Amino acid sequence: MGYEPQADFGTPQSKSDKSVTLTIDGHAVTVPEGTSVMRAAAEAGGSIPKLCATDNMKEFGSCRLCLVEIEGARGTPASCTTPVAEGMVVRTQTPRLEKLRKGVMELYISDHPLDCLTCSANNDCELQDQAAAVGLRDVRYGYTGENHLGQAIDASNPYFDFNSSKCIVCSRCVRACDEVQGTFALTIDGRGFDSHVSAGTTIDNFLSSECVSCGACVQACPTDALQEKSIKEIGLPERAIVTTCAYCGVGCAFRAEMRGDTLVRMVPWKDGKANHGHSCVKGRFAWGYANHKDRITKPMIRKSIDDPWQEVTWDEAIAYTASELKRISAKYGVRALGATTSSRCTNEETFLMQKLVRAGFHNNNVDTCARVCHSPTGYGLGQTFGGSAGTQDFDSIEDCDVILVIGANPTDAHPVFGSRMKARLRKGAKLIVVDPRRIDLVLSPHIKADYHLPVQPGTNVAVLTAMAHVIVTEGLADEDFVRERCEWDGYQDWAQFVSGERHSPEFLEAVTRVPAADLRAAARLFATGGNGGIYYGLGITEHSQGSSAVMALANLSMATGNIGRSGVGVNPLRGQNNVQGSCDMGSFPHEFSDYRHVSDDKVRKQFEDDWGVTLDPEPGLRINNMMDAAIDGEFRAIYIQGEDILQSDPNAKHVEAGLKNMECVIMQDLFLNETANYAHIFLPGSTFLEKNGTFTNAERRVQPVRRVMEPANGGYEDWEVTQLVARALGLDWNYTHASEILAEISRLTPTFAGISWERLDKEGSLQWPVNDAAPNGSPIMHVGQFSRGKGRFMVTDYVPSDERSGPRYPLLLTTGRILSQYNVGAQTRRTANMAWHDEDLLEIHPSDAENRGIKHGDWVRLASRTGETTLRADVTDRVAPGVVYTTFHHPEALSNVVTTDYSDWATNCPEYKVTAVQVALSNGRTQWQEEQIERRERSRRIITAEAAE
Amino acid sequence: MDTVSGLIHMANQIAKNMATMRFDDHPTAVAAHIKRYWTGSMIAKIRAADRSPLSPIALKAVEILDQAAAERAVQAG
Repeated sequence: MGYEPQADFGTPQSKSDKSVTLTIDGHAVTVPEGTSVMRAAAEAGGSIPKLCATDNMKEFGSCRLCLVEIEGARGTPASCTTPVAEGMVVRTQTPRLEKLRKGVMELYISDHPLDCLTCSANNDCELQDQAAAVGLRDVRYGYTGENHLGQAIDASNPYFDFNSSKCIVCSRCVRACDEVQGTFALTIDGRGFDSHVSAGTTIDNFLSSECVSCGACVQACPTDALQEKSIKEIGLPERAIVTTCAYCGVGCAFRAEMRGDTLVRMVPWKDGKANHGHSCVKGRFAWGYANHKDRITKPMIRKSIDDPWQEVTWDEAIAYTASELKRISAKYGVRALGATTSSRCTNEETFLMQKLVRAGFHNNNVDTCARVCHSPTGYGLGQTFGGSAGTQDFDSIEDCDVILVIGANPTDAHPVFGSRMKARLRKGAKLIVVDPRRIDLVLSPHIKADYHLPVQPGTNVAVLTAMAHVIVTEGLADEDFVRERCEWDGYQDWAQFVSGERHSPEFLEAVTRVPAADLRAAARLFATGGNGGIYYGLGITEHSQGSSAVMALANLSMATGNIGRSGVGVNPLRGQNNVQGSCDMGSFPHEFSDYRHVSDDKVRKQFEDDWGVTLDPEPGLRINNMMDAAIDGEFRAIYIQGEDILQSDPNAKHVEAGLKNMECVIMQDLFLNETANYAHIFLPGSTFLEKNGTFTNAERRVQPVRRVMEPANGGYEDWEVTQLVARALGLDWNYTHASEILAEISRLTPTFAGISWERLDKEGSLQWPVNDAAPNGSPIMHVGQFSRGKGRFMVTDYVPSDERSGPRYPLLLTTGRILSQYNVGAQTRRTANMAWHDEDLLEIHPSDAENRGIKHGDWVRLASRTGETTLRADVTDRVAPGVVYTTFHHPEALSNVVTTDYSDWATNCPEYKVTAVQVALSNGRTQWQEEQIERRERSRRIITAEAAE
Repeated sequence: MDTVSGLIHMANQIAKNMATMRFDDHPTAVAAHIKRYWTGSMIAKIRAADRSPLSPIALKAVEILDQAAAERAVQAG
């Protein structure tokens, strides 16, 4: 498409089912009741001048430009604040209105720089457009009086500038920060002529303020007052292509706005059904990694991990890859090979990777990074509901009365959905937060959790069972729902189990450290407060009882009748963009796409017939088992696509030992990451901007990813590289476009049966299952009946983790994420997001810090039974005494050197959230850190193709 | 922990967590879980390992896996 800003209807769409017909400028217009006159006119193709109105915020009525005449009404009401009425007769263009608007516009322009030709908003400025629309030709007041033209520019934010002299004080930025983002960082300071937009207090600038750089204010600004630096540097875009963000599992739709082949900016797409036009600092601004100087764009090989890399041609790299895989397979057997797919890659790329392993490696040794995050979700929801996915769409939050957030930090890890959650809370929904840390949702502007249950790490199942105890023993369960929709015998067993005194909040208080009275009150609220929706994250799954905790959540939702309609449900917030998709596509070693086991003869035959190969009926190795098998000398080669297992997987020393023991480690990635330090072949990857395909977000929404620029690696999308390897191994693959792979997925995957490239192109997105039973997709699952028929209650007894604190390791470490960084930071560390978080810090409670003589900012040694590292201390009461917290975004700290081998009993998802540690003042890096730095430096040596000649 | 210790730990964990769940026979359920998710080589390793660290349910589950392997061997001739 060419460059056209998205249409702005001025005020939000009304959701009313009732219609109203009115007359605007002589034309009959029918719109939903509650629509503003401004929007009705815009929907009818008209255009009423406006400055303070924009359609993703409530009407404001301050700019006085949108005046209209209404028959029978006095004066000239603002069209943005006037709702339509049956039979209303509106005139939008009369001599009186023209005069009034011109007069208003004169006042604005008299205090605005007239530097349009050199202004970066030239041709993309609503003030300029509206001045033209009202026919302004001169300003009677002149320009010599008091004005705001000499204001200093606030350039503190790395991504946008605030130029107060260009500001018309329409308050759109302030309202965007309040209504859309929910941060309340901006305000209008001063009065009358001195009114101005301010980021926090008078000593603050945008960077030092509470601003989270979501970009909502920049998007809302009608002038050049808030402008992207990239627009200032590059100029206005010429075209825009809609694609899907490659950061978290919210799956925001963006317009990639381009000038030539240069990306100018990413603007959230208002028609995106996951984000509705909102964004966060990562998706909106942190795309600079795509052309960062660290990008590896040429294939490289080396015989030994101690050698420098040697750049080679694609032909050489692929031939070497195939020869190594064949050699190792011949020498050690087919089961010595394996691969990992990536939750950052597309469905099509993921599908091809697992196909390569099953059809080309002749085993099922394929796993995904979802192993280490949401594999318990698949297991737990599969067991209870029969479907390995979240039950709701994001819009469901609008109907939620009680929100239970457990083990998730949406405002940091899923910020766009976090903003929607906050908007719902501001409208009156109740909030229960279960988390060892005081996350922002517990207390932030205009948000206060009704209950924060500061659970001791590792005791989620005890907390959830105690909640169930209260619900059952106090007669709060919805037995009518359970009788109709669930297995009644199973419910009775479960109810009897949770009713036991040993599951009471009082009995478990010593274990969970949650005050019994609070837990009881929270349980009552969830059971009786109306629609109860559960939102959870890795704070649930990454435990030795991750799967049990997921099942416990499912039990709670079934027992209270909170499933199968809008406003309720069990909702896993997926960490990466395509966690859901990578699981759906058959990335797990025991199942094909759509979660069908490899031992199922009928299913396997379907794939065998389609692919023309014989497939292994035995499950393959999980990623942690691959490392075990490598150390044992049984697993010798791995093909890793888009992952950095050394930094992201637990017990980094164990991963290192496994990688070191392999004869061939193949990396396909954008950058030389920590895992690449142990690799022998590097196949340069492509960014989401350089490829076509689809991602599936946390609400099962399959959305298109569109190529907006040529792949920097010589023209190969990631699936094409996989195909090159497959062909070199003798597989006859001839895909020419990702859409052909999607067609194969749809052919072989029942839940994707109705999904096609053409439909996605036309409809924007589809939520699986899309099949004969649900031809238009399934925003909400388990309506009427569960995927498995009757819902199944699973008894989940609390089993303490084997990882225990004690005298030597008295604190419990839990790990997580932060807003500005993403996962191992490979992308965000190569952007200006480093301005907010340039190192991993250790949060420690003031009392624990004082006991150890630690002050804020001190270097400390973090040690566990597994390993140790050093990082700086952040002394804060955000964490409870006895608990410490850190992130894993930076390789310098590589915090996973301290996490353990313990994992979820059902899925082996690592227990990242519970590690017994000791913290002490440090006098320098650990030996392992020094070794890693040295290894990293050695692995960055590259002999270019030119030098080799 | 080494691979075999890890497998024993996993089996015990599975047994411990499944112990209170509603199954007709818990060792059979544990054995089915292991068969569903573990590779043949992992199963072979736990079958060959010292069984003294196994919990009673996990031990019975491994015995069920022994039996299944023996039946397969007979079938294979």
